[in-house]
Amino acid sequence: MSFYLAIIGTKDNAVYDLEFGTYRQGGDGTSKFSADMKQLCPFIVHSSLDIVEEMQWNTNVMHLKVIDKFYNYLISAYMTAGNMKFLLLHETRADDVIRQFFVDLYDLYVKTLMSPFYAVDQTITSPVFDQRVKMLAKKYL
Amino acid sequence: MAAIPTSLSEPSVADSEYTGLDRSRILSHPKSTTPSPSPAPSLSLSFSSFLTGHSAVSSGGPLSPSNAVSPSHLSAVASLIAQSFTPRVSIFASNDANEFARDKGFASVLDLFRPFGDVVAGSVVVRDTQGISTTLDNFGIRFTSSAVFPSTPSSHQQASPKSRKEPAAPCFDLQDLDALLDIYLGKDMRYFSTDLAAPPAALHDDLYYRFLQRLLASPPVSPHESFAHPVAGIIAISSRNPQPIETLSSLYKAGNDALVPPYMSKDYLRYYVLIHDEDHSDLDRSIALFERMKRHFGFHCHMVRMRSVKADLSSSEPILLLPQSQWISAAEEIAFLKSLPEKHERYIFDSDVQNMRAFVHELVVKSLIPFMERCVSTWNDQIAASRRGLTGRFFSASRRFLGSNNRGLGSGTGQSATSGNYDPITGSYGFMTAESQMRKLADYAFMLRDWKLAHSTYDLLRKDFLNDKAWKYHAGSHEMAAASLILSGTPLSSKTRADTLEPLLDSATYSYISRCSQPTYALRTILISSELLRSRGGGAADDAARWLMKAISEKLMGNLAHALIIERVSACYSIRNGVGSQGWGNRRRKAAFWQLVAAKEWVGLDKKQHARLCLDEAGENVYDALDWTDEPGQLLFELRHSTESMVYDSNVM
Repeated sequence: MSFYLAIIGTKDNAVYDLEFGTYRQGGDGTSKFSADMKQLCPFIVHSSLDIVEEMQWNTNVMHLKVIDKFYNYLISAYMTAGNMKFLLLHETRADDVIRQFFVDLYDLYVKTLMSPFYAVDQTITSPVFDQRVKMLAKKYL
Repeated sequence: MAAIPTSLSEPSVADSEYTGLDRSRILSHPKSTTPSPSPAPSLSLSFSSFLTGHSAVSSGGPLSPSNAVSPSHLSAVASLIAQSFTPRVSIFASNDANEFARDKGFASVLDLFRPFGDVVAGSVVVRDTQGISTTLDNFGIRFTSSAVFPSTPSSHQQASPKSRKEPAAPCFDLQDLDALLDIYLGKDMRYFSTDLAAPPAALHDDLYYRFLQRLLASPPVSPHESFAHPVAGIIAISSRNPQPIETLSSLYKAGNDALVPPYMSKDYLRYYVLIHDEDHSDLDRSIALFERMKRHFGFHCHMVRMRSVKADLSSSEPILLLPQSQWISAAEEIAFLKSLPEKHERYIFDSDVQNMRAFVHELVVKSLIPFMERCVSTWNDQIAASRRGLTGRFFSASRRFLGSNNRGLGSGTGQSATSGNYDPITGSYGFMTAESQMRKLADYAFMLRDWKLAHSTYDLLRKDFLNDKAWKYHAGSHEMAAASLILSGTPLSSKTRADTLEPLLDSATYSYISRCSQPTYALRTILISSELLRSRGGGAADDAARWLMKAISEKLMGNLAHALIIERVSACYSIRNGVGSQGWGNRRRKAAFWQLVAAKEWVGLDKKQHARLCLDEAGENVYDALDWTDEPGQLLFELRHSTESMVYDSNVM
């Protein structure tokens, strides 16, 4: 079970991305994507932005659940109030768990935003952020 | 008037390809038209327009909105599909007729007639069962040889049970198509040049158009669909024949006695043609003979006046270059492209062209279409209408009930055919059975572009075939039901698509792949439906992309075709431009993404030039505006790097 998380900004720019695997059932947290998939991942989630932008006006909740498929991979999306998109590429459906993950991630993101040295749409390079996201992944996925 | 076309002096024109899309350029280009000043320009232009009904393809736009049956919502590629299902006309030619054709420089009468069948000049009007007339655009017929029948029934009967399991002929040859694509995408793409100024989207469209055309060009004679069965048969003699009436009769008898499989009916329209040799035969004698023919054989006769002298560049009369027919199979095109260019140039006199066009027009408008209309209305009244009514439903329900009763009583016989009409051994229905005739009814209606009637008939047939477990028929009826539904122009909301179209396509592909082991037909189903869905735009284009992705994941085709279809997914998405100034609902990123995936495939197949084209398009539309795509290590960057290493001649593109 592998995951690819991307936070995409308002101008389609990549703010943060992370590849990881599941920690459950003896998984060690590394993603098991093939080399081809690894290269394609950013492009796959980028292409599903089209659907995000279409769906966002249909609902008023932030969690958009599964919006797209690529062969047997699913893409879930979460839209923040500031038009940031959290996209997760995963293999099996787990709407509730992913929603909780996204909500906590949103929390982290807002804390990042509060820093005066961080502007909107900048990439997030902080290792602390990275570590916290990995902990969230371990907790939920 | 000396009549040497100046094209000889221009090597660039002479060795450019005489393939479909280039024809309109050759023939409409002023320098390469035939020489005699006044009649030439108008004639050659009308010739090109009569031959290439889709000259709009090279400009990349959809066909101009025209009359009802070629509705404006059909793009050029989608109307190609409507044109590919045309009536087949077999040719039975006498020996002297074939010799006449050989004197003119053609291989046979079939070779001579073939290019003229592509598009019928003049307007073609069809009346449907309700009496409403519609004008058909780009109606054509397909001339075929009389030897299209598969192996005769006698060999079937003698075949041992082992050999009856041999697979039926595939719809098209995957390897041939791949080989053809290889040639098209070869080093400098010289067999496939279009307007240099056209946008890249037009180039992709053209390539796919040709691919689809080759794929649909010649389905084999098969029991489950009657498109390849001849609707009419032309019996041709020339005026040189010493015993004309006897020859015609014996040809007719030969046609009648020919061994055809039990599912094919010999009830087609017979049409008698007398080819009058203008140079050697006496016109009065021929006219007298023609009158005798009409008295003997009835109304369906025609006399074509043709020169028998071989036309070439030294002739003094106006001549034209006769192009290949559009609808040749992939294998034929490969042979054509590989042969010497001298063999490509076949000239024919202007007067011959006029006469042939008139002949085809008369054949179609005065004989063929009325014949088809009569067949449709007869079959409709006799068979379909009775089935559609309430009594019809009781009839089929009771038949099923009694059939299952029989099974119960005669336990151990293992009889599963409920209607008794289906023959599981040959996998076909006899041509006299109601199911077979209804299928013909639906096919004829489809060929005459009466989509609603076709759809309702295919719908009726679906359940019958399911009960009889006639899987190939089952799949075929689902396939055509889906196609006719989309073509009929009924609005396709997402609900209709999900409830009606999806199950149809699902059953069709599942039946073809799993139950009949005919993946080529499944591929045809998917390609046809996705093209038609794409031309509907909106949510249907998304469905189209999804079906193409399904075809890709099932790997139903060869490698080059695989990459081409990935590219087509991108085209399905790029047609969605969304509404409003922000383009809400557009699919630009998806289109660019699939171009990227396609480029990756092309690079893997060593078609770097084409890959470069895809990458440029993806970059131009979406990826160049982003900064994270061009970093080393990213796929886009690496693909660009690998395609730059070859010499890229932008002049050729």
